[in-house]
Amino acid sequence: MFARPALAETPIYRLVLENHVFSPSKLRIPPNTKVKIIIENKDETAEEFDSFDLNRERVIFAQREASIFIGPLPIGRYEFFGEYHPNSARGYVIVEEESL
Amino acid sequence: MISNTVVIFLRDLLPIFILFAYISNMPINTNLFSHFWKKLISVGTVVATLLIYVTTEYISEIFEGRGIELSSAAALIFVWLSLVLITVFTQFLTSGLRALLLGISLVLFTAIQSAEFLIYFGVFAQYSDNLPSILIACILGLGICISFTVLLRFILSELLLSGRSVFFYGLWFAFLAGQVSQVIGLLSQVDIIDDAPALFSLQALISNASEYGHALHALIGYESSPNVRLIGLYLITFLLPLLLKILVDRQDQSAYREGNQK
Repeated sequence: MFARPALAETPIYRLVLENHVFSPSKLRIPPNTKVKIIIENKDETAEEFDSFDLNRERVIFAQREASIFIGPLPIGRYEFFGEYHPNSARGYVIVEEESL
Repeated sequence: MISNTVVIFLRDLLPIFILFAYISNMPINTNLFSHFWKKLISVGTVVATLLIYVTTEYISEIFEGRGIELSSAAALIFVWLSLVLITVFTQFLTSGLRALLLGISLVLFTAIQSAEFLIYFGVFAQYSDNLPSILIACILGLGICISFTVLLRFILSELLLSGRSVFFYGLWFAFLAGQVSQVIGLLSQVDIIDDAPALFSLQALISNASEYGHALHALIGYESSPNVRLIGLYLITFLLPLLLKILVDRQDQSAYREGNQK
């Protein structure tokens, strides 16, 4: 149940938030693998990374970055958005074989 | 803007209203609602909310960036434990201890939820043209929360008055289980426990993103796609106190009857 110490091979992905837009808006990750996502907020205001599909919720303060772990996930498309700017800050984590 | 603020209002502040609806109906025999305690709790809540709001950015950096998740999980567990203790073992705790545990729980829970809302409010307060929309949304959100609480208080009071206290406590422990179950998401988010795939999905029926989803989440901890750990923790934290409460109440009733016969 408890997570093992972070292994060197845990894949790391980066998401950048700038002008209330996530980049890349489609983050491709491999299936059945736990991954670490570092979210960097380049804006002057805080934002909350939120995803009902991934069951994740994390405030990222202005000019800061924060990490979250997701997975292992089956193949599929998982939506995420910025809770404070849901119209512009939107994206998907796409879990697919090709990203291996 | 308005609908988003209302949703955040429901997510962050509705659980506080629900908690107060239960507490105000509960026969826990404390002097907590005396003038002095009311003042102390109000001041404590304002101070704690501001303190958490001001320090959240720094808390998020501690424990290798896991500070918010760890402190929130610890607070939720403390609140669950305290409220279960004072509900189940009411007569075994002194009035002072009950008041203290209840007071700390109310302040902690209210402050954490309110501080999250203040962060959102702070972001939009920076743009003066957003203020009218936010104020309208806050009035709407407050109206929804107050209406919801009045209705819930009426239902809860009817349950107690009609002798259906098992249903009252069933709903109460479901609310508490829903709150403490969030620990699973918090800890798996920062890799302290492993994540698990969802067992089933009710997303098509009631989405967590919908207003109903938010209200049910606040009321009973509804999750549209729960995993086995969430379900396990929910069932334990719901059933264990409910069974204990039923057992303790039955023992009290039989002791009372025996005392009357003698």
